[in-house]
Amino acid sequence: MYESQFLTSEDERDDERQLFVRELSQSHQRIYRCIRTWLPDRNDADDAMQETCLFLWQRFDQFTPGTDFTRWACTIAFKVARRVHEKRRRKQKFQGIAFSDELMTDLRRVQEGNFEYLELRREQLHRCVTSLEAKELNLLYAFYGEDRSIDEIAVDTRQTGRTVYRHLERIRMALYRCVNRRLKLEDRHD
Amino acid sequence: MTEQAMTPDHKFLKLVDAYCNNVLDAQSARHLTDILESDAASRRQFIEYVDLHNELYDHIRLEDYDLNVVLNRLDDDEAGMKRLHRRHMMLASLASCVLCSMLLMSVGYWYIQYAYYFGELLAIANGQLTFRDEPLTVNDRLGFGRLALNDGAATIEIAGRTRFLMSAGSEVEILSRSSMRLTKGNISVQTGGRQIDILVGERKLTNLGTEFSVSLPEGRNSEVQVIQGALSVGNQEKSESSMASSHISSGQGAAMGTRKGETVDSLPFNPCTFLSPTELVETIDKFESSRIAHSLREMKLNRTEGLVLRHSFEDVTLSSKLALNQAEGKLSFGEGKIIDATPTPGRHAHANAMHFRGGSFEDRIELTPEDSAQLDATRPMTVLMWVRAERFEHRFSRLISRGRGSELSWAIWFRRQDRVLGLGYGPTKPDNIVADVPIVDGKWHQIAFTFDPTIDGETNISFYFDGELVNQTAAKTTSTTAPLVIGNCQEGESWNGFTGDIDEVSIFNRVLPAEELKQLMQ
Repeated sequence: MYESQFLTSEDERDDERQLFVRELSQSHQRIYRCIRTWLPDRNDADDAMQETCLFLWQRFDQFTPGTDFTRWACTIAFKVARRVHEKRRRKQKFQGIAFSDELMTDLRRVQEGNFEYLELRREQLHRCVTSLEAKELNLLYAFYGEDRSIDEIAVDTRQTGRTVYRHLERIRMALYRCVNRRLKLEDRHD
Repeated sequence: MTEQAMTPDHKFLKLVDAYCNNVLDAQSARHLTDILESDAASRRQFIEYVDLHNELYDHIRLEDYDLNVVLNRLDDDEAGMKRLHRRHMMLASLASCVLCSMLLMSVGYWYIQYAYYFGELLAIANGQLTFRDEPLTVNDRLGFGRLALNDGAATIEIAGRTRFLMSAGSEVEILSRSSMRLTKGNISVQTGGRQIDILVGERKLTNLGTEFSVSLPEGRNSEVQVIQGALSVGNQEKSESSMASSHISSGQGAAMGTRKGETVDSLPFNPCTFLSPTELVETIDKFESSRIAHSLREMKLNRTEGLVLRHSFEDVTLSSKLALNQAEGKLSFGEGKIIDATPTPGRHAHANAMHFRGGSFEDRIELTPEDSAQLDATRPMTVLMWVRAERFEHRFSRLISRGRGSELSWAIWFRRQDRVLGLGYGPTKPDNIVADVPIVDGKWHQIAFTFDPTIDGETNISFYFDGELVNQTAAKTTSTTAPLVIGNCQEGESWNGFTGDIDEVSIFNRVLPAEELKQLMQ
């Protein structure tokens, strides 16, 4: 009896693990994106992602199958990121960004409240990207698609890192305005 | 995409962009936090922008877009780039060819101008300079080869800095940009601090200073005059080479024997300057005590209008000829003879005068009657000479005269009786024009008389001493066939010789005004 109960529990555990792995693999990128919203530094984001995955597995029993795993995971990730900011605030000599709990909560609320709107923006963003000039697209692809650093691109293009950064910044801001413009146009059409 | 104006929105987005790229500094981080905490709209923009950034991170893959659209544009751009590249390559090749051609031409021009023809004739006065036996004119280029100057003086520049002055009859062989061989005559060299070697025979003179002269008189050993700076003399390869036969003198004219390799430091002296032909002649004073200076000075005087006789007593050991104007105002040499008078240091260093013993000696310089014919007191004439008297020897000690006794036309003399200097004229009972001047003081003095015939048959005679008018009169003068004699009277029953030195006797066929006399005195 004990053995059969044990085996049953093991099987359930395996099923649970498989489910977790499946959900996590499907949502991994989006969870990572959630973390990166609060922790733009890659190292910080990787650490937080690792910690988030541990938390997710430890609390996976709290997850209700059939609901949105990504949203649940992002809530956990947010808490992890908030703890990182809290630690930063405690460090008196910390020079980077350290949001307060209130601000992070407000921002999180904005993020969740605009979930669909942000989806719309992403669709428009892809259209805006295709309207970029070839050299801008190449630069964007080199930085985001090939995951090359600004310094590496600067060496290849025989420019300074500052010039490359300014160029990327201009492209991103132009894309941001492009998305805004497109959404306004769609509003008018509606 | 054009840069947006720096609106508050734009500044905020730049902060957010910096946040996304983790490049916020502490101050900007605080600023961003303040904005986000105080403005709800900013919080929304923040989330939108960060989401855009993240979306780019997650989905910027070519396969995420309309591949045809993107790739076609990329292809078009690539093709365009290739076309542009080809065009640029062609233009670059063309430009390279043009540049190479220009470079080659420049190199060729440089080689011709500065490597092969590295010298230039800057100025020439009274003569012709030949380079490789071809005549040169001012500004002509020159390089390796033989330079010869037949008359006058010429200034040549080598390699942009070294200048040298050639005097009449000089020959120089340019060996390199920094060496030349003096084969004849004399040169003065001004190097501007650059080292230059002058080869004279077997000896090499290496300039260590800025200025020196080298003279190679015919049949004599070379002489070197350091005008400014220092000069080492000798041939290091020939240890037995001796400078005993050579001669280095200072700018002050003091001579000293030197040994091989000995260096003579400079003495205070005006530097040489090398200027235009006119300036060349005008600047002779700067060559004071230079042998070349003397020839330049002579050249300047020879250019003076109306000069019919000039005796500077140079090269008297080589020639007894006198400079005479025989035709068309051009100086040439007339026949004459020097009897017993001997050369002595003249007014200028490296220039001779003639010493006359006076008394009963026959010391004199005598022209032929033919050459003397035009030196007549009945015509416009100026007689100019420099005199350094030793003593009053005779009743009349003649400095220069034409005729004696009944043949006398004019004579300049000292009168012992009253110790005056004067001019006698008139054949039978010479009338005199005299002045009480300090003639016997061991110094050089300039004496000048002008003869200016008037329409009433008389001649205005003016007497100048050291450039100042000291007496004048109007008198009747006569001609003579007697020869001109310097330092004495014509041969007769006795001699009335002058005791002292005479230098630079000049006679003009016009009346020189006082100002011009003063200038000549300079």
